[in-house]
Parts: sequence; C-alpha cells; structure tokens
Amino acid sequence: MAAVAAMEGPDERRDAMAAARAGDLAAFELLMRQHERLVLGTALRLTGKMEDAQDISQEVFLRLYKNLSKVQAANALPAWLYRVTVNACHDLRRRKPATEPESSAGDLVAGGMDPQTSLTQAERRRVLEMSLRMLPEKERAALVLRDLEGLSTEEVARALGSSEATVRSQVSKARAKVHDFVERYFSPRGRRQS
Amino acid sequence: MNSDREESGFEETLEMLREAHREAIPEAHFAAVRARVLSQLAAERRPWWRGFWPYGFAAAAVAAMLLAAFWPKHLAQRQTVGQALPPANRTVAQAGHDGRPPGLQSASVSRVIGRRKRLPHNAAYRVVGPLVPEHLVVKLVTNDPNVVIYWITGE
Repeated sequence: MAAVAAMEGPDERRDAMAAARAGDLAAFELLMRQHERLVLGTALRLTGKMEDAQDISQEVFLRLYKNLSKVQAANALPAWLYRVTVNACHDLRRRKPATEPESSAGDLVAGGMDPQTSLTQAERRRVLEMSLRMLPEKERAALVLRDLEGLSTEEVARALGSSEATVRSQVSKARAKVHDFVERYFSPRGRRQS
Repeated sequence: MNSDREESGFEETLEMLREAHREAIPEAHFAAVRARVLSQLAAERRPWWRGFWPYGFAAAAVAAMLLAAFWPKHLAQRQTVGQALPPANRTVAQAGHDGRPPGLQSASVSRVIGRRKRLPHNAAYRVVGPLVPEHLVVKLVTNDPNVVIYWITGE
C-alpha cells in the first residue's frame, strides 16, 4: 500500500475517483495507472502466469468501474483491489484447475544487463515461482500479501476475509515451506534433483 | 544460536523473494490490460441505437422501394381514370353530336371501368365510384330537328 501511496497524492487520487464516478474514462485510466502494479503484480504471483494475471486484472478493473460508488474513500481502494484480486484468482482456479505452469511469469525482462546478473535474476524468479507454486492457495495468498506486497497482518486478514490469527498461522507455515524449498534448491544435491 | 541462524536464513530467503517480486513488469503488459479494459468500457457505454443503424438504414431503403413501387402507379391510374371518364350524361350527349353510335361510347366507358376492376387497391374504386352513372340518358337526334328521342334507363 505504501507503494501506491507514494505514486500520487491523496488529493489527486480522490479527484480521479470522483471524476471516474462521473463517467470520465480518462480519470478512470489514471486510476488504473495508479493501481495496475498492485493488481497485475499480485495476480501474477497468485496465478503464476502472465496471461491469467492479465485476464484477472481486466476483470478486477471492470469490477472496479462498476463498483466505484461502493468504494467511498480513495484510501480504501487498495484494500478493495487486493480483496477483489485474490477472490478473482480463487474463482479462476475453480474455473480452470492448475496445470503445469509455463515459464511465463519469468517473462520479466532484465534488459541491458550482463549475462551473469541476468542469470541471477532469472534464477531468483524461478525460485520465487516454484516456491509459490508448491504452496496451498491460501498460504500462498497470505505470503504474497504479507511478505511480498508488504501489507500488515490486519490488512491481509481483511483482504482474505479471515482472522488475523489464521493469517499469522498461514504466513508462518508458508515461510517455513518456502525456506525449506529454497535451501533444498540451492544445496548441490537439491539442484541436481530439480 | 541455531535459532538466530535460522532467523537470518528466513530473512535472506524472504529478501531474495522480495527482490524477485520487485522486478519491473514490462510496461507492455500494463498497457495491454488498460487497452482491453478501456475498449470494453467504451463498447458498453455506446448508445444502444448506434449498433442498429444498418438495420434502420435497411428498413428505410425497403420502405422507399415499396413506396416507389406502389405510390406512383396509384397516382397515375387515378389521373387516367379521372381524365378518361367525364360525367356520364355529358359524354353520351357529346357522342350523339359526334355522330358516333352510342354503343361505341359505352364500350369505351366499359373498357375504362373494366380496367379499373383490375386495380389492386380499394382506393382506386373509391375514386371512380361516382363515375358510374345512376341514370343513363341517351339522346337520339333525328333528321327532323323537331324530333329528339331520349332514352332514360335505370341502373
């Protein structure tokens, strides 16, 4: 949320929301620009595929347009977007059971870097994708929102519709699993297996 | 000691994942999403009748063709019948003056009436209705100017 807050001032966001509510598409585009990183980035981590993440983002922004009147305060928008994004990812998972993910989340290009740096980044991305993929859906959502997006436990609980204690437990389990996976991945024996 | 090492291991792992997550997503992906959303919103906001203009245009064209096919013919026939059939009494009288036998004139009248019967619309009948004489008056002019014979027939 801090990332979003840093993008634009609260006044500008409030003005953009008011104009978008009045049907101004340019203002709505501005709102999308302010929050697209939040929505697409979260969806990408939760689905693991850029194609699915784009579909989710489209759906989330269309829902936002239809529900602009329900999101009263501009500072409540990021929480609303996180919640709708997570729900849309759950819905997608129900509609389209998980298949073997392609390497599309690794399409993030590190242009202009030397091969060594690129390799390291590609490796990191691969580890991130694989470690998230092996987590159960709820633990993955909790870890992504809490540790990668930087939300507080309370905000995560609100976004996921569960209690703070549940979120703490889910995050703790997810961290342990990810840590185990990373250790195995980087140990010489684990590398050979993967 | 072990716990500290584990804690720092957790932190390292999380930091690595965060770094990977922070990597920039290419702008093209965002632009694609924006374009899809905006085009869908623009399509939904378009007034409903904007999508129907081809049908409206086609309906107007069909209506114009129907008018062109039927409307002028009615007018033409109304004029023809109107001009061809002056009031019956006067026609017969003039026939006598022309010296033509009255049968010829009545044949001409019946030809016109016969043509009227083939008209497709009731409107035509309404127009020519009054032209059917209620009483037929035939004036025969003889060689003797003092002798004029009138035949008056009912319907």
